[in-house]
Amino acid sequence: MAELTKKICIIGDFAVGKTSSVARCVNDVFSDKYLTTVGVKIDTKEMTVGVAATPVKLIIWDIAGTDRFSAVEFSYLRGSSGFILVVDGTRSHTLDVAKRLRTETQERYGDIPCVTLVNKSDLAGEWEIDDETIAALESDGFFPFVTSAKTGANVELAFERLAELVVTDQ
Amino acid sequence: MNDLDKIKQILFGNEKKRLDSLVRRLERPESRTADVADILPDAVTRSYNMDDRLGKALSSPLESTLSEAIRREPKKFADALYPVMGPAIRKAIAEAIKSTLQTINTAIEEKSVGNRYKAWRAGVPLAQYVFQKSVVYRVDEVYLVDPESGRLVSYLYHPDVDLKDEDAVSAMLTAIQDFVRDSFAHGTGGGLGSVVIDEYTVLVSQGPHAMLACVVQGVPPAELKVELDAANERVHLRHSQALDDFDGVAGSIKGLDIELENLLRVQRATPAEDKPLIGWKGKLVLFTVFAGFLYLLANAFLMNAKVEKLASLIRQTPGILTTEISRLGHRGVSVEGLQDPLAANPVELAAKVGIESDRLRTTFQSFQSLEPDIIEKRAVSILAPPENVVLQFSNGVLIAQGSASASYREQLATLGPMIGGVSVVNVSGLRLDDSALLEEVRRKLLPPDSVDLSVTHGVVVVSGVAPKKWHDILATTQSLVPGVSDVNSKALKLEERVTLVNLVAQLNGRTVYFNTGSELLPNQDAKISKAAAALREFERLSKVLNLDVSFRVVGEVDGTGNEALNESLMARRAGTFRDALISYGVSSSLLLIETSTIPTQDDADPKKRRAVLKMSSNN
Repeated sequence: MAELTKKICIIGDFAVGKTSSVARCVNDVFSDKYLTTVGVKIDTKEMTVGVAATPVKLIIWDIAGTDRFSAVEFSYLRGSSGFILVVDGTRSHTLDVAKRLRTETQERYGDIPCVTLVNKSDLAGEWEIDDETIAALESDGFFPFVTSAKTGANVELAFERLAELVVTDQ
Repeated sequence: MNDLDKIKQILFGNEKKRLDSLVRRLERPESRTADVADILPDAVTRSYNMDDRLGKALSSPLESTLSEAIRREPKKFADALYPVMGPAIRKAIAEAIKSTLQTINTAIEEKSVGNRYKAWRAGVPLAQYVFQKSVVYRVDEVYLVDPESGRLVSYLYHPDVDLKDEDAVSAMLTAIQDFVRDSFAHGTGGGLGSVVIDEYTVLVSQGPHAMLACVVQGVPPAELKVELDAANERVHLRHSQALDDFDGVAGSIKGLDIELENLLRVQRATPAEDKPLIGWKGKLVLFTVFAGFLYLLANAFLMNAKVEKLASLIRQTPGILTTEISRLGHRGVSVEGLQDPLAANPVELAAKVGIESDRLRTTFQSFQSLEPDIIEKRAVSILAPPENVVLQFSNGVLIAQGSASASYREQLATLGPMIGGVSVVNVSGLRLDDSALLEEVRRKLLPPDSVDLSVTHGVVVVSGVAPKKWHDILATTQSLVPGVSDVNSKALKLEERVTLVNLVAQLNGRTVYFNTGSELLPNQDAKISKAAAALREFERLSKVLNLDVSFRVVGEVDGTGNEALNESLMARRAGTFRDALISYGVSSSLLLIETSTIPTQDDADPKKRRAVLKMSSNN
């Protein structure tokens, strides 16, 4: 138990694949039903970061999909060390929502590390977000990862990156 | 400087300087502030001691300032007051809880249909079920959570608990707190105080820097929440800074666990000591009800036993036939059947087995019983035997014993066979009583008037005088009169013997006189014939009495004459008298000739010329 814990929030628009993205690589403690009832679901993920292999336990707050934070959702974000923004690569407006959500959190809680999952890479034919946009995200501090919840591609990597960011950030 | 000024300078030079200094001082706010600051504390103290004007003057601005400050920054004030208000509020709440707990518990115990059902299912009394439910609890887990991030600051748990991901639970609990607060408490800073899920209760204490929660299995007592709040306050007082600087490593704040360990406990209260489910009044009522029940039960049992006894007793009692014996309610007994008027009283029988008459209802029809005991009673009732008579009935025969009058015996023989159930009367054992016996004796023996008879206890006592012949009859009394046990005739004399004795007295010394020779004087004949008659009677009686007796006839002489002549004369005179008596029918064998002695005196007394009868000395 004597390990470092960090609160991480996963946010994004409806049906972008937030829960599916993390489901593959986290310790699933509670039922998905929490999302529709309380509006949040907690998972945990233990990992090590950096050359020193520092153990860290991420407490992952999977917050129900929204395009604008309500008071409750804001309270869920409180005390978070990092964010995972999730975007549906087949629906470009979800990126706008993600950007707005990040802005809102920054306004409320300051500049907090985040990574961005541009999800559903398995649906290449319906892809709406081009590489330039993704490159722009990189430069804006979004730390984008093109992921597939279906295949699990890059999801683990994104978590590792965020873990490094939050541990370094403290 | 003009002259006036010069004069002023001369007159007021020093005062002017002091005045200028004062003016400068008054014009400088700093100096005035310093002055006021210098005297203000003393001034306030003095004013406060003098009157309440200062207090009144300050109250309104202070109130409005504080109100405004609290309105603007409520959280700051709440945080500052948290360690102070906690105990005060807790105390008030504890008092309120204490006073209402009993009422609530009672209400739960008495009104909860669920509890009743569960108790019924568990097969335990309701009180026991509620009791177990209300006092046994275990604190499984204690969470100290950073309220902002939901991360665990400290975590303690009971060894028997199945561990989940406590970090996830801690976060979720915080999320739910946020959810509840934002959804229902509208950001007032409150939140969940407790959550109850089946047998689990999560108690939560909210603080500015930490949320303390414990998971309780069972029903936690109200004090536990109070203790939880107290523990959270201690944590805040001692570790406020460390909580503020929490780095995300659970268990990293030293000395925190010691504050929380006390909460992790198993409470298993012993029954009835902390809170008896039933008070003394209830116990008294229960005891009374139980005692009453026992009394009724015992009564019913005893009554049943009594009824059984009564039934058995009645079965053994002649003259009563029961058709039904039944209980009347829980106290009474009803007996129905047939009863001979001479049978024992059922009420008395019931009394013998302890059933009072007021609890007995009898319904009997009369009948005539042919049971031997009742027949005997009937015989006694009808024949009314006198004191000395005993009547017994056996095998159809009425047996009379003792002593009674002849008329009673006759009555017995006549009426006896007419009594229901009696076929034969046996009076052979019934002798006559004394008076009846005496009567019978008189009738059979025909005693002479000179005899007195009496009977005592069957013994005939006879006195008086009776002839030998009646004596002989008397000897046969016992065979003549049954019932005579003995005859006492010691006081009865023989009539013959009495006469004989009289005759002896009459004859002894009887004398006849002679002339000088052996011839009787002329007037002696009547005397001789009388003596002869007496002798004949004597002879007859002595034969009756079977006596061998005789009389001597003694001849005597006077003193004259010679001896030889006198001897002869005496014999002749005796012979003459004897012969004379024989001539009158006296048996010669009865009379013996005897001579007397010759007198020595020479006198010629004519009275000595005689013969005398004398009783033989051997009789």
